[in-house]
Amino acid sequence: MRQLVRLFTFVKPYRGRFFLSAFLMVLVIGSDLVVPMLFGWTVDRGLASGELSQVVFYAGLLVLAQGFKSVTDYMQWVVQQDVGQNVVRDIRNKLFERLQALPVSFYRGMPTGQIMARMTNDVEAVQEYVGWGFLVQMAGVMSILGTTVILFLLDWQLTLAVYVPMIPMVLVVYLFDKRIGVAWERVREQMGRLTTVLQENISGIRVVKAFARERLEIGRFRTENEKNRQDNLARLRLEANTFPALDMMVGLAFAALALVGGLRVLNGHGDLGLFFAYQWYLWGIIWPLRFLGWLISMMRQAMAAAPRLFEILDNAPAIASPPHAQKIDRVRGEIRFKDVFFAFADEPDRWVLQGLNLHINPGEVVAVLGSTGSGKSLLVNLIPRFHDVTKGQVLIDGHDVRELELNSLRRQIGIVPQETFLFSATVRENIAYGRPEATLEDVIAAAKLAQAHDFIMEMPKGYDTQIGERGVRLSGGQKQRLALARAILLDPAILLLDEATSAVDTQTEHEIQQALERVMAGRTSVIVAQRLSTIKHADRIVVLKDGVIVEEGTHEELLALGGEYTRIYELQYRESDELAMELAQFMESRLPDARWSN
Amino acid sequence: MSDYEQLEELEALEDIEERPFNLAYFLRILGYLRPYRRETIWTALGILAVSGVSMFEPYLLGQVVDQGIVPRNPDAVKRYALMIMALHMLAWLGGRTRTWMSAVIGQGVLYDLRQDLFTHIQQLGLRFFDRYPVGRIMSRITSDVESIARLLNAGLVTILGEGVNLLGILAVMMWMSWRLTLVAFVILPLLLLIVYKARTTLEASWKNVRKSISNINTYTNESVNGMQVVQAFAREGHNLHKFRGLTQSAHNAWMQAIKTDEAIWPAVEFVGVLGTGLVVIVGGAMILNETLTIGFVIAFVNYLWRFWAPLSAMSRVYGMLLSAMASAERIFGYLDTAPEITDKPNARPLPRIRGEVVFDHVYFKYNPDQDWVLADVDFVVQPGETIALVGHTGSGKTSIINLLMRFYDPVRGAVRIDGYDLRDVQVNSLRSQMAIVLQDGFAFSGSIADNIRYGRLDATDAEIQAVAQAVHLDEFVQSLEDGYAYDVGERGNRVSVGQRQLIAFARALIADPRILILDEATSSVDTETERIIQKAMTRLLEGRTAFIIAHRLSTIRHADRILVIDHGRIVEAGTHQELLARQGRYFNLYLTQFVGHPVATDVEPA
Repeated sequence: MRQLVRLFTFVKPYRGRFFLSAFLMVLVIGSDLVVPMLFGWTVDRGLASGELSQVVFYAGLLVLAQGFKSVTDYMQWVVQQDVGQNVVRDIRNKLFERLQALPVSFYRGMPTGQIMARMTNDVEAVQEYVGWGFLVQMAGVMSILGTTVILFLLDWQLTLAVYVPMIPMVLVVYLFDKRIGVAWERVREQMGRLTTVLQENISGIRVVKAFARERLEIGRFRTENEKNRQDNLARLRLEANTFPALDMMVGLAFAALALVGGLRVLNGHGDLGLFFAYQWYLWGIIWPLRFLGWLISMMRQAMAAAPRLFEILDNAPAIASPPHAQKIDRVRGEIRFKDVFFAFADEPDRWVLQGLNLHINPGEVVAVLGSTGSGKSLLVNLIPRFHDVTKGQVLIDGHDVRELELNSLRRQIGIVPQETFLFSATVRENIAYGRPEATLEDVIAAAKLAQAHDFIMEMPKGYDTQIGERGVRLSGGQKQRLALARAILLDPAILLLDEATSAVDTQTEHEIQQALERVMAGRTSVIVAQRLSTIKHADRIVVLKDGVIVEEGTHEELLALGGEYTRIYELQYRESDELAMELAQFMESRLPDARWSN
Repeated sequence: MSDYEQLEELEALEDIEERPFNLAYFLRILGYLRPYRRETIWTALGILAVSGVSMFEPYLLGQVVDQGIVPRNPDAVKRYALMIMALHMLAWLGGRTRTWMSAVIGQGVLYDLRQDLFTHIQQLGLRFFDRYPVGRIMSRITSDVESIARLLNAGLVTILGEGVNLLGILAVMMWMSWRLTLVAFVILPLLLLIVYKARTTLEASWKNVRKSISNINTYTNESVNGMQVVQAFAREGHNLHKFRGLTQSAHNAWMQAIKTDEAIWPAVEFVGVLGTGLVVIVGGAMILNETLTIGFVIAFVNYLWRFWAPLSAMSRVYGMLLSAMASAERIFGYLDTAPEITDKPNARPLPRIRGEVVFDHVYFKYNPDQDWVLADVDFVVQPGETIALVGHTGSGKTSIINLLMRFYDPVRGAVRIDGYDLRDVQVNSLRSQMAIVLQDGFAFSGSIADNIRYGRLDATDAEIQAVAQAVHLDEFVQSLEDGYAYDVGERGNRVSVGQRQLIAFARALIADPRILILDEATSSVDTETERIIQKAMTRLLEGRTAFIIAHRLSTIRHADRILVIDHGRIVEAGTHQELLARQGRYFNLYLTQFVGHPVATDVEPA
């Protein structure tokens, strides 16, 4: 119930329209109550009077009343739908806003398929109920109450007789209501699992095929598919046990009316007109009762969906600007890590960083080296606050990043991540992602700096070429260069490169390196890489191991140290040394060759 | 029609929300009812029972009046009341049968269609998956399938039930009084006009609604996938603004549709009352002439009243039908895409591979209007040899692997293993003897152990740990609380890229493949691990044929032979030493890689 109440806080901004709609509904139900009366009059005072003019008069009244009802009914629905649609739009907007505010760690725990299922199916379930079911429910309750009052006024004894067969409905409805909520929750969860299996199968199809595991996958899907069918059938069985039973009990009320009502008219406790009017009024409780099971199902479905939406909304963005956050315009680019500890929230005992200290001067180029899982990427991600430290501080120009206005902080930082994500948009829009207002000249300048201009010009529509899912496919190196251009266009004071060139071939890496040298001038840069060739030009190299810095210094200093760096260096260059020797010998032997002398 | 053209055509169907009625598709959809013949008959019987009740009830009520109340006959009242009661008991049974059986049919069709689609898609070649984004294939199997099941379940029940109602009511009315029926139907053309007119505009409006909602979903999906970029570039405000625009236009589209849709029922109801009024007046006149009884007129009006609701309900099914047609076209489009790579009828299982690989003048391209991706690729690999493929991005290295795994077939020429043309052997027997490690090291959600076991389903825990140790993964796993049971999350996003690669490595090794393919397999692991893996590899590669794609010369110089590929051709082949001596393409690549090397700077050519 709490979920439901909360759902209706979204109606609050539209309470004016909501009450208008409720008022119109009262009018509709009122005219629903008047129409049978007029009908009864048409029989009693018209047909019974034996005068055609009377019949015409009452029939005319009947049509007028119905006309009024139809118009009011229409207005009521439109207003109600407007409220419902406003609510759904607000819920969607709020969810989206929250999704954008949630930190990377949230996405670590919730698969994309899950999020999408919530943004689509669950929102639609809520929409159906808020926009429609709820009001039908209200209308039903009002109709039942109004009709009951009138029926009792018309003939309370007959009414008692008619209502008795409907008493078991209470039990049927109670049992249904108790079970259908759980059944819907199961259906939703199972659909989520089916979607996840499907998504993984399709995104990993290369692996599936390479290992000839199609049959295993078909079996895995069949299991989920079968569970999905069973869960749905369990829900439908409840409905099949309930809905026709409700219909039957309503029908028994009709039979009771025919029997008791008929006998009462016979015994002179009323006239025919009353009998007919009564029969018409009965529809006022019949339709809501027939809808009852279905409405409860819809409500329970919405109530199963709502918590899944609230779960997203209630995820306080762990990473947000504090109140009265300080905006920064242009930082110098001094970065300091002070006793930084970090563990992921879902694995609090596994320290990824433990007591890390690092000071980076403005304009300095610092390279971070370390083995897989040593926490290098994390270190970089702490600067734009993709994660917050568990203990300690990260400071930019002396300000704790957690005290800065988040957007102003991130605008200072250009990031080229390991896995490039480009949007389904034009090349230009992708490069201008951080500065949508940038001119084409700016975009081209950034692309040139990132060595991307040439291949962009070779594409069918140049900068207006559509890329992404539905557009031109790009190679890994091309994607990386676009990502680099995107970062450059921000003109950031701080540049972060997280394994930006690990996936490109030597030639491309070489080109990107050259581009980078120009880009990094005057900016504080942090480079994460494994290849020493990428990082040896850095002003300083830090070596990360088990979440702490074990060595730092220039290439030469570290080599002189003879520690971890030297070891990595040797690993990487022992072969290179051999190769170099080989090359030297080779070239010596060829020295007389004219090609090498010039 | 070539595979490529077929996919082109499928692509054009993507954005279509509705299609005109197509008999062939409709029959094919109906074909999915075949396994549920019995259930279908039961559903129809249930429908008949329910409709029968709704048809007889007004008549019986009329009889209560005419036979019971008016002639003051309490026995008749009791008799007819009992009949009404019995009728509703029958309706209960009918209703239960109808609801349950149609549920079984609906869920059954949903299950069958989903399973068919999934099974079929598993057999399609990589060309299909390279072409379509994941989300699109998924919406075929989730929502398109649902739209067809809905048509077969709700749609057919409505058409049958309401159709029987309509016809039955009409028949009863005609039987009762064809004159009053004619009077009542004076307004019918008006009614049909309303329903028809409104439906046409309505279809267009609901189409807009679906379109606008699908825009919201597409945008949400992309935003969620690229959230880190969104946040990194502080685009939240801009994107929220855009999203608000999308939800607002969905709101507007919806309201526009609802304004027409909600007008229909009140209008039908109003016109219905007009008809009722006419009947009451004419009927009244006839009662006064004593040609009709009151009970008769009441019963007649009651029937008339029940005539309008089915009309409105049936017109809704029409919309359901059109959108099911669009879904059917897409689904059948997938189902009709013939698997490109299939076993020939007489295909034999490939015996245990010795490892001789022959590319016999192979030509290949992905689509007809493309230049050759591979042109006259011709080489022989001896069993146990390690071959390195070297070349720029896009030079054709991966295409060679795709042909070797038989993800694609050559356009001209042949690929042979141990003398068997790959097209003549069973695909499974081929692929199960090969293993590949890909650059992105894909992992499935589930435990680390399950991910490794994917390579060989009957591997024991000890074997899994042994390969994990060999690729240097064990140490990391031991540091985890759950150890090998650690859940790597969706696509392995709870472990780093490097760790994912190691998992992929272990998965390949446990398969004990006869041919091993490494496609940039160590690009994301650190140097130390890479070295350890390399060392382990020399042992593991013993007796197996291996293909290695790598950018780093350090990784490839120990290969038995190096093939240098450029623009789809093998331009050089030989050992490291031989290729250096040739001073060609390889030599140049080699030099490029030295530029910037600390050691290389010391040995600048004189």
